[in-house]
Amino acid sequence: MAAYHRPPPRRSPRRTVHQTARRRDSGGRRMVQLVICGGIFVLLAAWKLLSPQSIAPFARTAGGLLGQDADFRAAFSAVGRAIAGQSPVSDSLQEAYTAVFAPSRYEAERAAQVQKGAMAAADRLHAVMAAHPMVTQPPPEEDEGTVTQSYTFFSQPLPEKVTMAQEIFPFAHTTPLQGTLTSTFRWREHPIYGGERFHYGIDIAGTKGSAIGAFAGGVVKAVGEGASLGKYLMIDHEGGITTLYAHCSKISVSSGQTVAMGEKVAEVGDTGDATGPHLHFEIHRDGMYLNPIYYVEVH
Amino acid sequence: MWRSTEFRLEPGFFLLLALAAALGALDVLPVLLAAAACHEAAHLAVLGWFHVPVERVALTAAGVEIRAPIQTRLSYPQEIAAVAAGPACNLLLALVSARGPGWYLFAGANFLLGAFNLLPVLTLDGGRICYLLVSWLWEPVTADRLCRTLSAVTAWALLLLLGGLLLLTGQGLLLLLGAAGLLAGCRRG
Repeated sequence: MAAYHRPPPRRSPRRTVHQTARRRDSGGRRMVQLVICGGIFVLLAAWKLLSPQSIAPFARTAGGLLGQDADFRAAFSAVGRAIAGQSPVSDSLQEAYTAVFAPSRYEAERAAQVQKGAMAAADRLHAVMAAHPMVTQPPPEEDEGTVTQSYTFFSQPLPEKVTMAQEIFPFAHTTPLQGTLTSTFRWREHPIYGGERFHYGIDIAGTKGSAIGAFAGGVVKAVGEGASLGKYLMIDHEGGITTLYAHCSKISVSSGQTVAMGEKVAEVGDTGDATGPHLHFEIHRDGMYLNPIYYVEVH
Repeated sequence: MWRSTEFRLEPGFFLLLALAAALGALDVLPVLLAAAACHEAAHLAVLGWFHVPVERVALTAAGVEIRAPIQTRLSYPQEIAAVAAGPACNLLLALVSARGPGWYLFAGANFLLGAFNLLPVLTLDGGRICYLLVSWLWEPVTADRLCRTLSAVTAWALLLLLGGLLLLTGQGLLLLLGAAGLLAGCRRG
């Protein structure tokens, strides 16, 4: 950086004096320059420190002019995309220009693009959900001809062997117990053990001893008693469907017995880990848990 | 050959960093510096191939700079190759690296750096190639006059374009200042 300056040759005294004077002047001039620059810096620093609000608009204008808002990254990426053939050259050039010379418009355009993408994704989701409707009991004031569709969005993934798909059963079926729905087919905090667990069936409240009817005609597959399920039974139906009825106080049928739809198979109880008398009802198909809510009428 | 090369870090480089920080462009600066480094490395490689000693490699306010002595030993085609190696490397890198979304920034930066360097302005590689080509095909005096004119026209055109854009959009003062610097550089040279 320091260039080598040769001192000028001393040819005559007049010249020497003249040159010396010039050198002194330039030294003095540099001093003045330094003082002015230093003064400007001190003034600006003081202004910024003492009154940051008043300097803010100037800083913004200066920054804007210098190109603080310009998105060079986006401009370069646009060019790169054109080279890769990912987008046409004219589009890329336009994008690059907008990113550098019209950054506020560029930001707005980008935001609009993001929103469009989000709305397209929402439309796709809507289409998927429409293909698999979850029909719950329509409210009584609903007039005929309208269909209520409600969607339940889960924040957690479903466990394995669980499906929310509604199926068509090849047989007539009925609600095993008329009563209030107290718990549904979803993730919940376990009422006794705490912690997030998936509830693999629905709970219908009932008075102890009320009759529980078979969901549909079939053959009693199993009758048993377990620590959590209490007294329970399982019935095999057509099409690989199996139903489970748990927390019963009394089982009225035996394994291997053929039952008809609605026939009394058990009585409501609170055996097993139940907090009150209710029927825990599950529907299985080939090892998959289905959501019983589609196939029963409860309130 | 490398033992006699001086590697230097100039204070102007930190001004460049400060400017990038102030503009919030610190995320593109490393990419640009990498592209500049590839550019200079290509120059150095070809110069080394021709056994030309390199005087100095410096990190300056303009990025990365190479200083090599006047090429009296290289023929015209050889010197053209050495000068063209830089932008050619950038353009090649741009083509090759534009594979996936993560590389668009790098490819774009390389392309723009290469294309910019090919502008027929005396201080840039493009102007130098122009001078060498015309010197080779005709003779140096014509080359000098032709390339000076071409250089001035290009620099002024760029300046006017950016000035117009600044007036129109209120953006791009920095680019305009860069163009002014370019013009000043080629006037001095």
